[in-house]
Amino acid sequence: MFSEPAKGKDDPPGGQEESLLSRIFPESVRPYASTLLKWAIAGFLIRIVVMPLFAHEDVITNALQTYTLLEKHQIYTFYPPFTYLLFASVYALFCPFLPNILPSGILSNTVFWPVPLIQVLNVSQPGIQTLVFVSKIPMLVFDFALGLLLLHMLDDGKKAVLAFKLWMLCPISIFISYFFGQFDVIPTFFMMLGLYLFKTHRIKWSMLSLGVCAAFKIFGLLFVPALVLVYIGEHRSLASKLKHLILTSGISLIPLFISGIVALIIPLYFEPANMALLGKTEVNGFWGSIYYNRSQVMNPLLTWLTYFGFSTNSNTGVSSTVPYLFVAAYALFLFGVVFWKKWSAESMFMVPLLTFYIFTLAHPQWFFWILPLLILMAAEHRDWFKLYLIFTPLYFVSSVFAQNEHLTSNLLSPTILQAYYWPGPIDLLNNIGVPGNNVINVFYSIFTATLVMYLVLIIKTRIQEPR
Amino acid sequence: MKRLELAALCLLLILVPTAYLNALNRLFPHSDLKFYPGWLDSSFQADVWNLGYDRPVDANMSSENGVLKISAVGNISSGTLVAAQRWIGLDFNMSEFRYLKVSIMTSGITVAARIVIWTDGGKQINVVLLKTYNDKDWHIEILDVIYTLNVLGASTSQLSMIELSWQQVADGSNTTVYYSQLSFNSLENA
Repeated sequence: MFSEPAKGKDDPPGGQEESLLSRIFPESVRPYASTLLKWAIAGFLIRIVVMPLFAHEDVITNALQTYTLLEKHQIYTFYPPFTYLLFASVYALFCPFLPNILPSGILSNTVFWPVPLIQVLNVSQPGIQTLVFVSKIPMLVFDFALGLLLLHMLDDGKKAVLAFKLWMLCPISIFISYFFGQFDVIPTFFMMLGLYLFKTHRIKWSMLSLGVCAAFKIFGLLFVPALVLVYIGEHRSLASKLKHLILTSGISLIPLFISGIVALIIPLYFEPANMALLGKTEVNGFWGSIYYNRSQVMNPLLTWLTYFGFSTNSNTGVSSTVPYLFVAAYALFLFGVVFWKKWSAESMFMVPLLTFYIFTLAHPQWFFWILPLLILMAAEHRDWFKLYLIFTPLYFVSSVFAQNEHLTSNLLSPTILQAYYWPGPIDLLNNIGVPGNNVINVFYSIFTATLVMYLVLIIKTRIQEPR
Repeated sequence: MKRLELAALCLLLILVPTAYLNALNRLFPHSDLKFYPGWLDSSFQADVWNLGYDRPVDANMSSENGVLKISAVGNISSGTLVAAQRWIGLDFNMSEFRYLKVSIMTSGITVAARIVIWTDGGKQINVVLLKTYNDKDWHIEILDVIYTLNVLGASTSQLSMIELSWQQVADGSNTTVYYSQLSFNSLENA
């Protein structure tokens, strides 16, 4: 992994016209084009093998909601509108190869309850593996686009190649995108693009890219305040600062604005909520004209904006006024940006994400967002690489195993239906007399310490580096 | 790499997944799961269904072409319940035929379809479905009754009575809810 490429083997002979592939790669890595291609093919094959075999219930749910858009021209608001539009395009493109079970169910107004019944019915259908495969094609495209982007983000060619190799074999990204079936790679690509554009002093395009990230998952807006503060700090007059503040912030909100317009134009899907279950289990949908999201009354157009927010885990139990620890930490970070001028661009992305993870109970797929940054750091310094090696298995034991069978054995159900009923790691531990939840909590605590360690080292080592 | 080689590589990257998917479909064939009725009411005879309501209302129940029609005319206040109840002929194993399947159509968004399962000799009354629909189309509901009763913390013993009813959600008038093809099913390989 740290070895030098064979001298002359991959270098193009003098005077030979550059190939198409070489033009895609930045100049610093062009001598390694052949190596990169081999690793890309290896990464592609790993992903292709995994893609049709595994899927979480969310893949089926997303497919059902996307088909509602395709067949009934009505939109859910559980995910952002851009998500449904993207997946609807993919399903429309591949529709001759996809099974008919989901579209026919949508058109016949058939509703199943509970979720395990929906999952079992759908993954037992012939052709389900093709559907699962096609559902992950957008992730594959953005995954490789992200790998290509990483090559452009390190000046040292050898380190860039190492980052690409790490990305091709990153267990966490492969798990989240192709085992779990989550689409976090899409907003993460736009987040990294925003970082790249900021580093290359194209601030407006950076804001637009972060806005597109936010239009898929709202976390993209986390980075805007710090970047805007740094940008307007370069301007002298108050009028100029205000002008650029409004301009850059406004640009970042354009994709969200467009997304909101889309949600207003396309009729909302009227999902009937089963109010017989309110208070007993999660209820989603309409009761008359009132909309419930996770058993709470909500404006349906705001569902996707609020769903990916943070959950608070601090409560004094004494007063109704409680500090939201993540908000406090984020505010502290912004104070740091204002008062300590020399932050690297990467650290202005990493610090908000790390504080978010440390102070909230993050869903396992949300850890995807920081992965490219961890890999860039791992490629740059051996110490960061060691920390990355510690981070990776801890993520699986603490965050993935905590979901028990839902993120382990159940994922195999599109291939082997009985896997839906297999036990998970916590069940297995409990069966041998070991308190499974306690074990997971221990590892989650160590995992949190790893995140804190990242934060401490970043603040210590990055704060003095030139931007 | 020349352009021709690149094109060949792209073609291979399309052919390999296609061949792989075909192989998977052969290696792991999926047999369709189907619902098989163990108990079915497709005629809603008047001698087994009884009409009931919780407050004075001009209610009516009728059956035609396999469709049960439960209606009320005049002004109907919010919260009004009108129900068709069946006590007899429910001797089937609900643990085996646990999937309730029924088609529902309502007259508007101001009324909710309501299905109630009575168990434990009639001592436990469990509302398992309470939904509004914003159109006048048929909706097929398939519900795991045993799972639902467990969620509600209710007994899953022998079914005593099934109630197909409606609840007025907002003040209105001339409300009708239709039910059709009521069955309890098992889920098995086709």
